[in-house]
Amino acid sequence: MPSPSAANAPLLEIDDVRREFDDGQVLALRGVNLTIHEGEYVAIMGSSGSGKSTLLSLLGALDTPNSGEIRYRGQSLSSYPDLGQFRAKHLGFIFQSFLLLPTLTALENVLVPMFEMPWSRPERQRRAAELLEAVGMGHRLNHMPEKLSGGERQRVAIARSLANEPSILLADEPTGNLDTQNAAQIMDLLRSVHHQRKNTMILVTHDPAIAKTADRIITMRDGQVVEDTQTHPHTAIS
Amino acid sequence: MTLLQLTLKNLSRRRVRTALTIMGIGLGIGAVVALLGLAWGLEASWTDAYKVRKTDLVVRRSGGGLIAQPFPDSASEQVAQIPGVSQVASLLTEVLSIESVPMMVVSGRQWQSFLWENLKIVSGRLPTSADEKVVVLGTLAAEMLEKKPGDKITIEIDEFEVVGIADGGAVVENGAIMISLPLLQGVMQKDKMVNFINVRLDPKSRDPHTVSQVIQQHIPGCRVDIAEEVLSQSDGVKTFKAMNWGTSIIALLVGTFGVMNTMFMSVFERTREIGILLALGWKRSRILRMILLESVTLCFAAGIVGIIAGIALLKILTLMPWMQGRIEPQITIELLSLALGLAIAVGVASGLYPALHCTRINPSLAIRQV
Ligand SMILES: Nc1ncnc2c1ncn2[C@@H]1O[C@H](COP(=O)(O)OP(=O)(O)OP(=O)(O)O)[C@@H](O)[C@H]1O
Ligand SMILES: [Mg+2]
Repeated sequence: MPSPSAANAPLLEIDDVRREFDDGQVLALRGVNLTIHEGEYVAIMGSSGSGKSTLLSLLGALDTPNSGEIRYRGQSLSSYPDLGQFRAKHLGFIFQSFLLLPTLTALENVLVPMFEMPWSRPERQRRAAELLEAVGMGHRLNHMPEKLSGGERQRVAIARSLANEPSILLADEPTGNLDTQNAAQIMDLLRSVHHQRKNTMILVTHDPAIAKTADRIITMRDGQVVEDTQTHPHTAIS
Repeated sequence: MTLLQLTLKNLSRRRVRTALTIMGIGLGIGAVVALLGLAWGLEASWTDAYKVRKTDLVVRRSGGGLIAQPFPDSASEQVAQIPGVSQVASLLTEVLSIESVPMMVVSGRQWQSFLWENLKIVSGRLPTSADEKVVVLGTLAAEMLEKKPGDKITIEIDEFEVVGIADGGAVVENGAIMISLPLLQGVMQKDKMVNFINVRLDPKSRDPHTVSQVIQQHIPGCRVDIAEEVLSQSDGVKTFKAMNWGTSIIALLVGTFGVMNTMFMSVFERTREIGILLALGWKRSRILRMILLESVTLCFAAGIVGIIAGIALLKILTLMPWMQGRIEPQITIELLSLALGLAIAVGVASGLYPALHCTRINPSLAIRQV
């Protein structure tokens, strides 16, 4: 079946990417090729240690490959003078262990990425409060992370990932630390975010049920992509 | 939320560690304030003394420390002949142990010279002649010796009567015992010897530098200083200042390494958080600024603590008997700005290396850390 998304210009292209650790003793990625299109919702599956998180780090410009090339809208990431700026403008991250900053309130956590944006202070405050409202945390603006439940923390983290209106959301097992009920709610939230904002979502998960809701499932084994299936026809965004 | 607010939150996380670090570098800054306050005070006190005496130049023997070596008084007549010189007054100044006070300046002043003019009698009177066996005490000296007019005072083995107490207008004058020159020469068995000649210049005369050169040419082995510079030119004071600076620099270096250690501990335990900030898109330069701001804020607080500690130390020192009447510590805006400036410099110096370390963190690896 030809991919309907092929009509879109590629957003991210991964070209024969390799990543090794410990001076080549660990081959985390052994030649990965992928093309991800604008607006796609991609699930990455695979057994533990297959390289999912490593791949996500590279896609999110948190790490650089030992060889190969990653391009964003046709431009190689290695040509960016400041990858921080690139992350701030285009990427939002959600992690399994939430990774909120412990000394900052929910609101302040959402404000942190906005340091890099040319918005006024009241503008930032307004945006952050709105985002927390949107993820159902409007009543917890000034709570410290340690006072929040796991599900609540992940909601704050989702609001934070949306702070700078990223074009790509990267989520590494976002429900991995949550019970079934909370996990379902967080996934509903992420899907509704994806539908409303039309951003590209790349999600690592172990849960086949979650993966099934994606447009496309990529399966990894031993640092390579072994399967790439389109589950839902992805509608082009023009 | 601003970077400064974030900084304050970070510093208040480990209150004890932050407080101890502030104490450490604060004491260093305090030492600087106290030591420089003393050194600058010493200079200023003598500059004041020459000002109230309206002395323009000071002639003494070259070499020697704070208290100059004696030379024959005949030199003063030669100095008086030099064009541009309007008045001369010779002095024999000794630092002696007087009764319960271990170090007291005894100032033997040429009789009927201008050196007696600035003394404002607050009680009693001035001596009536050069050989009346009496002394006049500066106000501070009177307090330290607990003497009033009519009391007896022993200098070396000779007994004198206190006839007056005078305000000399400067701390060094007020801390001294004033006596006529021939009497002190007798006590010290330094007949016709002096160790300073104070010179007043003709107001219309050539500039002091030229006159002082002429004096130097006429009297071999002497050295002439402009009054304001006498002390800063003296080897003793130069050594004192060098030692103070040396001690200050060591204290600041010790403090710098202390702050650096704290900052390294702090950034090591926050590696993961810095990874998160990088993942959220913070530029490396912003991380650098955050860490530098932390160390500078820490040291700025230490600067305030140090200034308070330094001033307190100076106040305590001023109460010490050996300090009284000798040095009035200088707590000037310059000194306080210097202290704060040094504190900020220490903040930058100690934070730079830890901050640079943070900019090299790989966010992906940092986030994996638990
Ligand atoms: N910093 C590192 N140093 C050494 N080895 C590493 C490092 N990061 C990852 N690896 C190794 O690379 C391989 C892939 O790791 P990765 O974290 O990408 O797996 P994963 O698919 O995300 O696994 P999981 O499902 O357990 O999260 C693993 O064998 C891992 O041990
Ligand atoms: Mg993983």
